[in-house]
Amino acid sequence: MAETIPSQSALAPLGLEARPWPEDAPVRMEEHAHSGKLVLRGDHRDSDFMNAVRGVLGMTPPLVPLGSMMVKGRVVLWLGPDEWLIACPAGAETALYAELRTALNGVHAALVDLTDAQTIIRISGPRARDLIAKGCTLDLHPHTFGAGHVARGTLAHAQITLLQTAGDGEAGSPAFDLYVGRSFAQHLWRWLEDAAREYPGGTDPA
Amino acid sequence: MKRQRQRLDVGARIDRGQRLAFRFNGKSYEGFSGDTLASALVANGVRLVGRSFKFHRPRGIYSAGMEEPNALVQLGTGAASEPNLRATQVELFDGLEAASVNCWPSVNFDIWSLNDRVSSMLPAGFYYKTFMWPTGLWMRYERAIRAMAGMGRTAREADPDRYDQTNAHCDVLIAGGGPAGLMAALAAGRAGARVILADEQNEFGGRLLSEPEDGETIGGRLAVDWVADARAELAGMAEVRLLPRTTVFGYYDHNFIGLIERVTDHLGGAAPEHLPRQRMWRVRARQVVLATGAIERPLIFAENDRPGIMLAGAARAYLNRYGVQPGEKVLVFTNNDDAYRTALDLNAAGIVVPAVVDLRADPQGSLPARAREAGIEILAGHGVVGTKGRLRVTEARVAPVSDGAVAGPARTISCDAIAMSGGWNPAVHLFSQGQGKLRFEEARGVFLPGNTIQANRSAGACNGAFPLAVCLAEGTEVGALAAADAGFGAPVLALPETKEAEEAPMEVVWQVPSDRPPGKARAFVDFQNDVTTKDVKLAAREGYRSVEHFKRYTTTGMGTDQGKTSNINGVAILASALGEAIPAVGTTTFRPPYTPVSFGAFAGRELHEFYAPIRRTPIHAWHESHGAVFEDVGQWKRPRYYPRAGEGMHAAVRREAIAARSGIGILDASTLGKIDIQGADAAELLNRVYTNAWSKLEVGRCRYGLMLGEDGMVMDDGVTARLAEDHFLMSTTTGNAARVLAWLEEWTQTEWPDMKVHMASATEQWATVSISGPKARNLLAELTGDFDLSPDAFPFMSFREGIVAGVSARVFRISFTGELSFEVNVAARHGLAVWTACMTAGEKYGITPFGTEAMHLLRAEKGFIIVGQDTDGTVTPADLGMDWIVSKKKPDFLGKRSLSRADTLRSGRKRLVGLFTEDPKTVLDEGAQIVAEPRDRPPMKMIGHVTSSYFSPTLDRSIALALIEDGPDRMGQTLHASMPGRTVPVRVTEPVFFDPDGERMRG
Amino acid sequence: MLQIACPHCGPRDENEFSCGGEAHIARPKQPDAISDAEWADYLFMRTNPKGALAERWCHTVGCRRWFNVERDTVTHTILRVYAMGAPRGGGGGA
Ligand SMILES: [Zn+2]
Repeated sequence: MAETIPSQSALAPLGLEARPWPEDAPVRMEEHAHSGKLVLRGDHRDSDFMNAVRGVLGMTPPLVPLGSMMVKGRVVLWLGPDEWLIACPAGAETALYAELRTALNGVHAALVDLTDAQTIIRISGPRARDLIAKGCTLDLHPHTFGAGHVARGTLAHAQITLLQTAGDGEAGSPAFDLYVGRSFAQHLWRWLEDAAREYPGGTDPA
Repeated sequence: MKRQRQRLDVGARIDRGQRLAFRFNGKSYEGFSGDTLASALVANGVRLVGRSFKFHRPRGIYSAGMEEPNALVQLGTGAASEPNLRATQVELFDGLEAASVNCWPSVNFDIWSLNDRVSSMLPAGFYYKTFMWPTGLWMRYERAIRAMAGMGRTAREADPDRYDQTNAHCDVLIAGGGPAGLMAALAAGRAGARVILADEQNEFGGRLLSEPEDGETIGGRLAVDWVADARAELAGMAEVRLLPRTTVFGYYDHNFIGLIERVTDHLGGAAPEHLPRQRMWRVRARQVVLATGAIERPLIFAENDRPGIMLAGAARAYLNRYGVQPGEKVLVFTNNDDAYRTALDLNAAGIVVPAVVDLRADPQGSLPARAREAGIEILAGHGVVGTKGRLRVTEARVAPVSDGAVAGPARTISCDAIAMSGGWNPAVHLFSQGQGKLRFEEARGVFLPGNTIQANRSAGACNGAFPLAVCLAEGTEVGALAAADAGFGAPVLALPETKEAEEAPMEVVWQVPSDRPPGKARAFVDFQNDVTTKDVKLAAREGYRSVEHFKRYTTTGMGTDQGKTSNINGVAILASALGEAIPAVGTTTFRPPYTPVSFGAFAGRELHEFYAPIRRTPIHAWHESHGAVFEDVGQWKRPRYYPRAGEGMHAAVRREAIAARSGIGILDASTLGKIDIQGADAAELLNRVYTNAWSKLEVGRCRYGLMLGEDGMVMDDGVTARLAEDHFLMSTTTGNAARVLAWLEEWTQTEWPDMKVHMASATEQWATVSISGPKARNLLAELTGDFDLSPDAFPFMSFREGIVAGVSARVFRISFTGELSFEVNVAARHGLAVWTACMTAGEKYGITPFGTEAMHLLRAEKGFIIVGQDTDGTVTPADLGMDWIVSKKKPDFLGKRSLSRADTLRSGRKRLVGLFTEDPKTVLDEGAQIVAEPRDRPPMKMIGHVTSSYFSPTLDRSIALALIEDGPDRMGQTLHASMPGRTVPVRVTEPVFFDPDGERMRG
Repeated sequence: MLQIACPHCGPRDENEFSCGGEAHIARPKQPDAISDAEWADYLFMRTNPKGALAERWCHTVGCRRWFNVERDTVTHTILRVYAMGAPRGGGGGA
């Protein structure tokens, strides 16, 4: 029955499909809505916790700060020394949540399904870094930040989690997934669109 | 269009093929690409460019750079018009339109110059003295004085230009692209460091751009060619960012640096639409290199402010860089060798140099020797002791001077310009802004960079190193050291050979003596604010010994030029008047910005909808399309009320409130904070942060909690549900969600690290649709078949999970309106669908969306508090009459101990009560003060204030909540509320106005 | 704008952090057993030195972890960053 109920992405009210960005634009943006997002917390020194997580995810969650790992279509992002964000394909979060819950039974840990709490704005293209730098003080220079790196910070005064998904050199690179709270998403999108006016080739904000 | 009659035919860094038309003070002129407005004006023989601030004396172009005190212009007209720009920094573009500021009706005829005749009445401290007594007079004078002193006009319309901001990181930031800065950039860039090189000019090269083409050489190349080579090499380095037309204006803590880039200012109407006019850079630099050069120091002599008198370096810049004659007969006046370069260059260009007047008794350097060879007369041991000329200088009186006094008769030298130099002041502004300490060097009378705590190095002229070879050497060294400190070691560069003239020592002279009676011939120290040597001495006599006081009293350095040419001279003359050494008097603290920065650049794009982030709920679009009037709650937009056609706020709120009491109201409560709490110690955490007990709360049930700060004051409140034995969902007030989560994290991380509990914000995961009213159960029954809604099966303060309107939901039976209420929480993506389903199914019950205004009214009828409205951080649970929620059994919770402090137990505290106005139609103002004994006028003792006030349609009268001293002891008393222009009698009552037993919400 | 080295995330701008005031002020174990004056001392009194001050900071928009910072209140130089619970003046930064 749930299928018949309309699902709205955070940016749906902006009608973005009506104004796609040209393929060769210096910077492109798109919403990547509805992918599953679970926040996991626990003590990595607790072997019960680590074994339970490893058993389900098939990997050790990244322990090096600002790192991420991708296995079987899932990305695990380091958010803090005892906190990870597990991103999975849309719709897979319910089963994954249940599986992790079961595995973590009796273990000191926390698991929250925050699939709808955030959306992802994907920013790519040669000017992607310049665009982000307009409202964000993170240093994204390739010397210090690269594909697979994660950082939380603020962009246009909205809290974000930034994951670099592609390094330089590939077509349409670099690329970043910008996780942003659902309530901030429209503000952030419009702010970015306005900031991107400097790089002609992009769409004109409505 | 007038001919550029002062323009030279060949040479200089202008493009004579690109003619640019412009207007100044209503007249049409022509200049060339590469000109500044100032150089184009000089080329056109325009001498008079402005009037001084106080005496409205005629003033001419004085410098060729950002230090300019006189040539302030209003650029453009209409909305984009900008005041107080320095003509010396405005790049000429086709169609430019500018006017002098500070003169009316025209620069040639200025009625306020009458001030000049009565200047003895406008001494130092004039403004202070006028406005200290009697205070009321300021009101009368202000308008006239502001008009008289007006420094340009701000546009009345919104600025149509776009401004942007960006953040950047680098290993080495270099301020200044002269020889030292370029060498530093090459050294750091070749080492592989990330470099930002910023220079305020349109091209790099610094003073080298103003020297003659056949002057100095670097590495066997003409200096300007070496600059071009260096620039090209830097432009080819991937990690080097070159920012011309960019001023480093601020040096803040931890090498945080502010830059302002003038992106399209020089393009005028040809500026591309997609580019911002200006861009502010916020740079974090691992290392900073200051290569900011030096500013020429004027000589202070009698009648030194006539148009045509300018800095010697500026005269050279106009000649060599812009190809214009600063005059036809230019007298050079100096205490150092550098000004001889000006004399030589002028002479070589065929301009008459009647003499070089040198304060030194016996100038013997190579430059004076070359001047002699060129046949230029040198008047050694002489000074300019006076000048003549009304709208421009026509002659100078020159006399022998020695030991600070005129030592012989004066002779008159006719001239139409005087190029003068008192030496060079290192530009230590940024170094000082960054908390660097300055040290004073007697020999040259200069402040130099001393110790600093920041990671910076100074090189070149700003470090007191004036010879070109030393500038290059210092630049190379600090560039390499900065790169190495940032992790990029590299072999030190070989230094290019230089060919330049050697200079003999200067002689420091702070004030040139005059043969005119004191008081007759004024010597100006600060041109923009008309401060004379006499004013400085007067301030000293009146007891101003601190530089900071002196500066404000005399207004020295208080103009838009911030005293670039006047501060050091002012301090030196003050020191001499006080009989103290200059370092003992000190220099003023330099503060950002180095030069003025427009407000637009500081605002960037954070205007209008981007002024602050706007948070929207999943149902926001529906509210918009149904005409909601929004209010800001924190960053959220919440519907305040939904007016129908012709309805004002009061009518709408009345209709919405009645619907919730009689049928169904529906509220978007998605903004309430939700914190997910998990772990074996979750209940114990709640025990510690709430005043009541949580261990025994059953799974499936909810409880209201009050959270206190350690000072015992109410901090937040909300309902928390137990989802599982070790799993709770806490709700917080909309504005406090982040703060409460931070509070829980703080205590568990810092004070109770062993507690097994984790928190996460879940606010945005859920859309919350709250339905409220006697028919709420009927509506919900139509939308779910999953759980029994009967009062026994689903009691008040419990929750159920199941399908509502086709999607998984958590339904909480809690109430803020006092009515039967259900809060339906669904995944955010389904929020709009569920809201719409409720609206459709509820139509037959007259379902009515209500906003925060009706919600506040409904809860006030029930006496439910709003934290932050009925509390203000000074209110305890007892003050609110909420002792019932404070556990007596728990050994401890946050804030508990404070509840037994003497101050929280004392009588006389303000406590919550209800108020009824005598006239039921009168609605009190929120914030209105309450007094027991009203008088005609203050003072009278205020004993409290109104915190919430509404007209209640249910009670058909006004109601109010108030915090009043010993309020509960005053039940039935009549007090008085102050309202604009009147006092309103009120009766103290219980703060619960409706359904005190809560039968409706429990039913 | 200070730059603070988060022990986990590295150097970040000050506005990513929130300051929790002076560090090493332990909450009394038995608040009920102490006098009003002692409680007030815990609640309100801080050293406010000119010079080195130990403070608690939280990387609010980053990893959300609390840690200690020793900062010179005159120059804003950050002298040391160390873990919550570690003693002041202990060896080495975090
Ligand atoms: Zn961190």
